[in-house]
Amino acid sequence: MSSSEKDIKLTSRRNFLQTGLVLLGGSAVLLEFGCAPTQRKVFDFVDSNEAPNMGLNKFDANFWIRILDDNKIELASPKVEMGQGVFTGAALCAAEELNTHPRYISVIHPTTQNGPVDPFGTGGSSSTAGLFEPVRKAAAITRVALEEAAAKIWKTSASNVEAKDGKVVYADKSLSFAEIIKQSKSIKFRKKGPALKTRKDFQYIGTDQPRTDLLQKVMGASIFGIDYELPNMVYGTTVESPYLGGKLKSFDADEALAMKGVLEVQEEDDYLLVVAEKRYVAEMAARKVKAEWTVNKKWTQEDIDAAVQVGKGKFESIQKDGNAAAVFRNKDQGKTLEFEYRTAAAAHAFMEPKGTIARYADGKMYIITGTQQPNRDRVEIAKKLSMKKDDVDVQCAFLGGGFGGRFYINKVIQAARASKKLGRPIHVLSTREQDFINNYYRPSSHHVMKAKIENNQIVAVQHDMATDDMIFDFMPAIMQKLMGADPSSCHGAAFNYSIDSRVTNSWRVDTPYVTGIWRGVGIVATSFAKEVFFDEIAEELGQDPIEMRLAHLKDEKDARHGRLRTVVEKVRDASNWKGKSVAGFGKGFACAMDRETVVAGVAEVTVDNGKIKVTKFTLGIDAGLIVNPEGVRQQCEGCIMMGLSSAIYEELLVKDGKVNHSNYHQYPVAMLSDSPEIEILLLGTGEHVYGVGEPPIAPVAPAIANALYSATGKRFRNTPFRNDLS
Amino acid sequence: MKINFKINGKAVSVDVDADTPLLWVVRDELKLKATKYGCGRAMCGACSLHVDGELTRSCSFPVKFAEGKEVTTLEGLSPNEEELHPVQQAWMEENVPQCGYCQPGFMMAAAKLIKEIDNPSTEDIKANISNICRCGTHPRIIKAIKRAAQIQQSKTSSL
Repeated sequence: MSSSEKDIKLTSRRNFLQTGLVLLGGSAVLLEFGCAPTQRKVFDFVDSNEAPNMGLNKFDANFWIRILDDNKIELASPKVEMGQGVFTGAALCAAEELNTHPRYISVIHPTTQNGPVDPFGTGGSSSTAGLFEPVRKAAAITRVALEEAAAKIWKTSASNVEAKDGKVVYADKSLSFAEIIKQSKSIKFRKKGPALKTRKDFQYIGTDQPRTDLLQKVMGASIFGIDYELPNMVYGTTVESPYLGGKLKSFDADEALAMKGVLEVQEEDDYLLVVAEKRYVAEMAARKVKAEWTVNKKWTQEDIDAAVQVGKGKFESIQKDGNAAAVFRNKDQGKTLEFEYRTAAAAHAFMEPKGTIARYADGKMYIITGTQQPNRDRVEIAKKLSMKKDDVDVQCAFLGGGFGGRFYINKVIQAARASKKLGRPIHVLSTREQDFINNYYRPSSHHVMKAKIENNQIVAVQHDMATDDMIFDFMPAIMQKLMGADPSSCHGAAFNYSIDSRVTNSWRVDTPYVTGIWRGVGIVATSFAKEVFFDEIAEELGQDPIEMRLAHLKDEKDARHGRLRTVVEKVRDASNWKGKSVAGFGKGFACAMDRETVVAGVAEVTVDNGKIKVTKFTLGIDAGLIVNPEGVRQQCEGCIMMGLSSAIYEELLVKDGKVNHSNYHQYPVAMLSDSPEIEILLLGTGEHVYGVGEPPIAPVAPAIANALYSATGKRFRNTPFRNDLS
Repeated sequence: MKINFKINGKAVSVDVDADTPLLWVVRDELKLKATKYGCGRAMCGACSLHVDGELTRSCSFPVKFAEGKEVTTLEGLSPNEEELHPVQQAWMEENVPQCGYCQPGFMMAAAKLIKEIDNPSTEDIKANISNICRCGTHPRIIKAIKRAAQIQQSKTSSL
């Protein structure tokens, strides 16, 4: 089957029986923003201004779960699958309450018009955790409805029948779910579902399950956004400014237009779009366009480093406990330690470049793309192209990596605009070079850490950090007033250790490129600065770094302290922390609390001919109730590899007004050859599901830096370490 | 220009600019989408396929050089879902993919590697496969390649 045929299947109304199935459960799923009152304000604002045509807490038929006529159970996921395994997690949650093995359940991406799409997008390590309640509620209500309908067919009480593996069973009789729907005039859904199972009753949740998309991905099925085709589709390649802030001054497209197969060159405010019958022709023609750009300032890396500096930009206080100012002022007593740290800007560099297929016809826009925020894309198209939101439908496909880099897909608007002008479907794809150069990035950061030591005790700590925004650029301007400090950039900046006086300040600075979310958001930087600093404090105090951490996790009011202590002890023991160290070999420790998830890691490194080699990484995590241990392990492995990559290699630099990395040869990332031995310790506690997609990245860079110190005697206070220590 | 070659055992003839990378011919003309565009410069390996049995990065391989040759993509690695290639079987057993985008290229590289080295060590794998994965499936890929080699051996020995 060709992709175009598949697409027809994808977009046509699916063949489900009757109206029927489904419902809705639950509470809106929110990304976490700052403290509770702010979160409330943010939520209210977003809810009232960007309310989608269907929120997650609205009841509508055919919305979450559908029983197809072949008795396949189809679950529409409000969260997108970008590799994090949410489809598998969601299938397990539905399976549990449908009393039906997960293999009977297929999970799909609904379009923004025909199913539940999270208005806030997919990110913040909230996908499986966020679906845990609503999917189980939806499944439970569906199960009860099917059991009651079956009981009616058999003229018995619903208490006598039981759903099991896609059927409802009564004594020696059974009917498939699809059969029940066929034989029933109507299916009645109760507004309020039955009590949900608790942990002790789970038969599927908490068991290791292979990915629901495993076979598709092993067979190479065309499931990614840019794999799709639409009939009569053409291809587009853009010509965009290589300079930061460059504006189109003039262009000459004659040579491009003369090429065989080139249809037209569209001129937009700040880019050109070459349209051709074939991808290769479009790309070759784009190279022939001579464009001139107006550049007000040719930025350099020195400009940016000078801007990202504590003391510059807008000051915001994030944490103020105790009396740190007075403690630090008192120079007569104790000793002050002060060190500076930096982390580099980074690209997402996911493997599927950004691309979008758009079809404008009869006043309606249809989009296929891999996006972390289908609803935002829909709203954005409506706004930019003066359309009604209900006339725009976005079909999310599997994402070839997300990592926060697909909260905004520049190709969506470009493709939508082009299709509207052309009246034909168009496939617009970034070249890899454009994905590096015309994109948004994780901002660089600067940290000044201070600690006051008195009588061999830490009595005060202060963290001042400077960085650009991560989430503000993607939100209405009013958020900045509401929240002050960008909650993503400053994520993890505050101290959690039990120390009397703790101060954290943010300096909000501006850099010449768009900055945004990157896996882990601010905690990649803040955890690095804090956890390397605590290693330095332990050294100053002459204490073992792990025992010193444990001694400062003693807040009985914060349940995370006790949970983290347990994780730290497990990691200490599993990594043989106290084992004898040999020359040229080092171990390093770091830990973190990320929202409710607690993590700790030990890195083991050697340096060979100036090359850093992480030989082993032991990571412990308590993320609450674990839905799919196998999925959590994958996320931990992913965080270790991406954290290692970021720590050792990744830096996005600017030179002569341009981003200085056009492709992977100039932006190295971790490869198979960097892969350490990995040991994951999973500790699932309690009844609540917490995030796992990002927290495990927090300890990776500082643990490696601390291990490098132990191996070489040299402190690594800036990432990346760059893999040449010779 | 008309170019004739075999893809996954089937003879095809395409009429395109002779310099078109084989990648785009496979994806857009022949509608086989497992082969991915990643970097366009033969650096990431997402577009890996086999040309006359040689591992080839198709984004940088003009289609004219495929004339008269046998091209195999991931779709041609196994006849169907029930009879998987040892690499695909191992990938299933190790639950390797995350986003999955780079995996076809890795599987094509792995299929070639276990033909060359029938029992590769971790070091053999690290030294010979230079594809890029961004999700961090590296540790599972290494395990899966070793497992694929074992599956291949057990299949050969049972013949």
